[in-house]
Amino acid sequence: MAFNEVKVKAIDCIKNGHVRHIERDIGKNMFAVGDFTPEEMILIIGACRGDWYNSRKHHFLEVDVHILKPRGKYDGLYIKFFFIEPDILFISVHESDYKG
Amino acid sequence: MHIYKDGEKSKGPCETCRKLVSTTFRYAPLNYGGRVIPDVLQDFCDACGSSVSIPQQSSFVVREYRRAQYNHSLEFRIPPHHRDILIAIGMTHNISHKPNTLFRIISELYLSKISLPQGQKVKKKILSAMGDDLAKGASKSRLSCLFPDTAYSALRDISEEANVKTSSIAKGIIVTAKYDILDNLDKELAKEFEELAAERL
Repeated sequence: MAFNEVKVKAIDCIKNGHVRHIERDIGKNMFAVGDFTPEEMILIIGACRGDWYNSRKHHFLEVDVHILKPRGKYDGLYIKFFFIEPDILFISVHESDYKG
Repeated sequence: MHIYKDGEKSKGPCETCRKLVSTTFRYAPLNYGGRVIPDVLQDFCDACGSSVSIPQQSSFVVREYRRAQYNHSLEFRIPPHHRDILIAIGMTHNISHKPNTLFRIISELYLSKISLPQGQKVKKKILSAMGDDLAKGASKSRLSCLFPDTAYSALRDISEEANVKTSSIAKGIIVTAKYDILDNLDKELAKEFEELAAERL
């Protein structure tokens, strides 16, 4: 999936409220614990450019895990998610110097 | 927002079964940061019963729980004119005339921003305000209030990082609030203060 497709899909899921957070990683998920609102997440993801993005395979599912490292106002944030229709599932939303 | 219901079916990645599994939503206690939050909607693996994920609607429950944990009792020594600043802020915004209550809300407002990516800027502003002329004066007055976990951790972090006393940080917050909220130099923050006060009182 191309980066722009990922971005549009992620924003659509957040707008529609089809959002879940991986329970195991809730401690390193600032979105899951309410530090960021859905509106803020849309702004953050919407502002990301292709060169701030990469992806890799999930450690046991046959899906891509999408990784964003925003710059500018949200420099230092690390965002990791994947999709299971119709939801977006966030694994991490934390500062890059997070030590769990 | 899509709202999931108790008993609703879904699919998710189970870390125990290490595969995509069928799940069912139900309300159960959630372990978070060594504490247990009661009645949080989660989806559980139909095969092994492990918790798989929490829906966005539950994040508001977690947030409220974190904010409601006012369990750190702190006392600060401040110059008497800092009480006047707090009362002036409270009366100007029609919120309260109690310095302890006002300081709790103001400090929560500023300290909640520390964990955000723009937190460094807020931290610098507070530390710089500690050198302001208004921060000076014999600390003859006392403030005591209960802090939630999040604000308390942020306060301790700044204190350790900058090697300053928490009372000095309290002074920095009050002086910063004098400019931002009393003088209304940061209209957005002043509005946030009113909203937070409405939520907390």
